[in-house]
Amino acid sequence: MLPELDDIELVRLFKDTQQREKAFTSIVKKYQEKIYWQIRRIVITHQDADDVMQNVFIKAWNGLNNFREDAKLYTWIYRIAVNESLTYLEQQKRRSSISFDDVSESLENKMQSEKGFDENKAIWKLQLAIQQLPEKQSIVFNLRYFEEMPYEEMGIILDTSVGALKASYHHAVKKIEEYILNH
Amino acid sequence: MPSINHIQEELTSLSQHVAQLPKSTTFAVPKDYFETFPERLMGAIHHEASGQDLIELSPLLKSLTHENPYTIPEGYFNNLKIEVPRNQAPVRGMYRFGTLVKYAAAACLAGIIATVFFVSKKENATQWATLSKEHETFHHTVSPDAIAMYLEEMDNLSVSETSENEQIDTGSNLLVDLNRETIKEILQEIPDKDISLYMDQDDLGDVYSLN
Repeated sequence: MLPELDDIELVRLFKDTQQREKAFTSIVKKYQEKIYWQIRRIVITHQDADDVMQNVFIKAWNGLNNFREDAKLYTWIYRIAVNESLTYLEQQKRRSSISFDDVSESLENKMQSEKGFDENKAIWKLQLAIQQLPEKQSIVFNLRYFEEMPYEEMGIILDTSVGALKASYHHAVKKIEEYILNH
Repeated sequence: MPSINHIQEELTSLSQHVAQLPKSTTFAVPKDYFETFPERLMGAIHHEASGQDLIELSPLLKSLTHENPYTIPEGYFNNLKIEVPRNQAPVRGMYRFGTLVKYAAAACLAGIIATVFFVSKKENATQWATLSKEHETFHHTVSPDAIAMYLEEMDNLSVSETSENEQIDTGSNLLVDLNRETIKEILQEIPDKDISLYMDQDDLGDVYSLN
């Protein structure tokens, strides 16, 4: 393990074949928890989250040589994570040959079979409410609410304008409030 | 990076209920998952790079990856030539004169129809505008009381006209209602000389002889 280095240094070390593995391990250790929780909130189960985590970091390993130093490493990995999570859900949908609504329902079922699930607890109600949101609104809400991410950074990850993200967050909060008050 | 307070304030302004919810983690993660993940990941990356995944999945397929069952004639690529055909098809212009004339005629016709339609519509609009303007002016200049009075008078007039008509009908061809006594009085005032002169003049004596 390398001492605490900033992202630019880690990327430079990665381009040195002798240091590549150590640099990458440092990057993984630095961001794994944040990336994991972002993925987990989208795919719900640990097993699925673990599969997506592996795909995300394998893609990062393969693409880091071409990574531009003017971009933020953390934002770049986040973007891969969001795309991989959505692709994973899409693949599940195709495999099951069911509509997207059914996927949302199956995600709800997965959540209900999670250890310690209690639909009367506010914390689980919030998770159920997030599952009712459209795909993009739920991602925006997760990034803002749990990760406290600035809209500008979110815009880079989701390739969306700040105005549109603010509107999505606003709608998401209102829908979650409505769900919690009615359940 | 915006402060946590800023994000919390934004959330509170949107919904007090959601802002009060706890943010703690709901999902459980296996023990030591994050400690062991980097090692497992590097193992998977090496595994993929060495092609080991295919060996494990199907050793037979892995052994066949570099074998090609298809054959090609000897020296095929050395002798490969692409021949351009000599008799090329004649080049035709994209636009023909006849087609252009048809399109031009159609465009002219459409233009004429559109102009006629536009002009007639404009005239109608002008007439309507004038009428409505006159109507507006009339309403501005004539008071509602005056209009009411006029309509009342018109009603009275039509009633009196109707009764007069009835009288005309009963008096058959007379414009005024004259009875026999009145006529006698009038005739007494006129000298006999004038009466006989009048009768002789138009030879009306046979027609209008009064007893």
